[in-house]
Amino acid sequence: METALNELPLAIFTTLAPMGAGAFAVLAAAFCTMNLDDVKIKAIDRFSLIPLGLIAVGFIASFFHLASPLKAYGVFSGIGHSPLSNEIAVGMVFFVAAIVYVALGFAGKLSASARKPFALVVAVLALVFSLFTGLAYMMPTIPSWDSPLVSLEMVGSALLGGALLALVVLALAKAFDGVDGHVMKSVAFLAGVIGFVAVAVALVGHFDMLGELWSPAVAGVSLAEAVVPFLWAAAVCGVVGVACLGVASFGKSVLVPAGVGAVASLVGIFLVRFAFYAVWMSIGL
Amino acid sequence: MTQYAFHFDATRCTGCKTCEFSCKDYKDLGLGVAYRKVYECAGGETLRDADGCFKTTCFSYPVSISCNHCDNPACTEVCPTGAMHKDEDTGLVSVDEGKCIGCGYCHMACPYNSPKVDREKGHSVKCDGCAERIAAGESPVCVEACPARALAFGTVEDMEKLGERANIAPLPEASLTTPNLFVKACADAQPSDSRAGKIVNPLEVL
Repeated sequence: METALNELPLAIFTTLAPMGAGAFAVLAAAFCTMNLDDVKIKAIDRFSLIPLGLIAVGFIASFFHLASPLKAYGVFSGIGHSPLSNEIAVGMVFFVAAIVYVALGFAGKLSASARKPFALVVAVLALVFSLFTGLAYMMPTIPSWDSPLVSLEMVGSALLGGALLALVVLALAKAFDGVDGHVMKSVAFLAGVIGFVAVAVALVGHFDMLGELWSPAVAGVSLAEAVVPFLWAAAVCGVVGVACLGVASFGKSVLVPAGVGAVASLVGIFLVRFAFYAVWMSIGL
Repeated sequence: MTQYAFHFDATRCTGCKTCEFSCKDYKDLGLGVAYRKVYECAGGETLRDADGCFKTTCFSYPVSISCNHCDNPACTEVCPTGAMHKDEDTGLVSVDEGKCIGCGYCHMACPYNSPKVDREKGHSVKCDGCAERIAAGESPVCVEACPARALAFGTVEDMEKLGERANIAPLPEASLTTPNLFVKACADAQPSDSRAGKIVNPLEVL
């Protein structure tokens, strides 16, 4: 548990940034499936500051785990060999693309023909960033993290949290008013459910794997046992999130259930991330 | 390049920790930081058989470990800034304090629990093999301080004549990072892949 407390800023970063990124991935579907007028598009751009803000807060939080944050620019010198450098580089490319996308939308410089491909590029970068956030933890000397299941957890979290957050953005922008948005809602529901299933499968596999691990310092099973309460609480949050997603996607109201679901999924993702750092285990000492 | 290496003679080590404290003294390290640590590996059990005789498989032995200045260091591989680097002339692994951001990636990745982030200093800290003493033709202070002469330091060619490459528990498989540590095992020593022993002084070393 000590590692989890030490890495609290990273737990916040890996909760907020992928969730915000996931929202951009799902929001791209709105521009592909809905017939939106300029007023609604402008409103969507305005409320896209919510996921953008989450990502920014996530990146700011990540600085707090550095002993010398003012030298953080140096992380780019490790691109290619350090998984952390790769993650931050991909994250920065995505974040800058998202900022430019929202800024151009705000300024009214994004034509209808340019918006769709730009939104799709940002969506792809968002998912790649989530993937690389998981890959950053794959190291052969840390067997409790060294699994592709970690990346699956991360992408799944981004999709579940992102789908709910995207619906919040669209609802706040009144994008569904007078428009047939059932395809978009179905896409969001599908993305969220896929995300939930991905996280559930990855967590079961990951923690099953932990039971097999052993080092002279600690047994994997004792690490796993310590975080079981966090995982149960996360499971409850995840189920609440999916239920809210169902109500938001197929019910009459979108904003309230999507908002409640987004908060529940955010808490659930954070608990999963906290548990993740708590199971750090070296292959040796 | 001359790759330097440590040798640890487990048949001589008494676990007195003079190596650890001479290093702390020489490097002026505070509470909670030690570049060399003595791990106590113990296991086994004592059973009474049907004839009433006691039989034991109990074992316990100390292992003195610092940075092993590996050929393929996990710390340098993951370091995002290149601050953790391997010297081209000596093969010693050390921290470029001007580059290190103190992210702790090296600490998490190293299977020998060597680097540690010192938040007050703002960077990672670890054993540098007493590079300045080596340059002056001396031994690392831990080697010189050991009263049982259980530690030695020299070129990898000389050290590998004295033992096998870091192959006893609680050390991980040497193939992971190719540590420049050569060990003469004691009678109690368990192989690296054995699950018979565990570290029994975790609060002291982990």
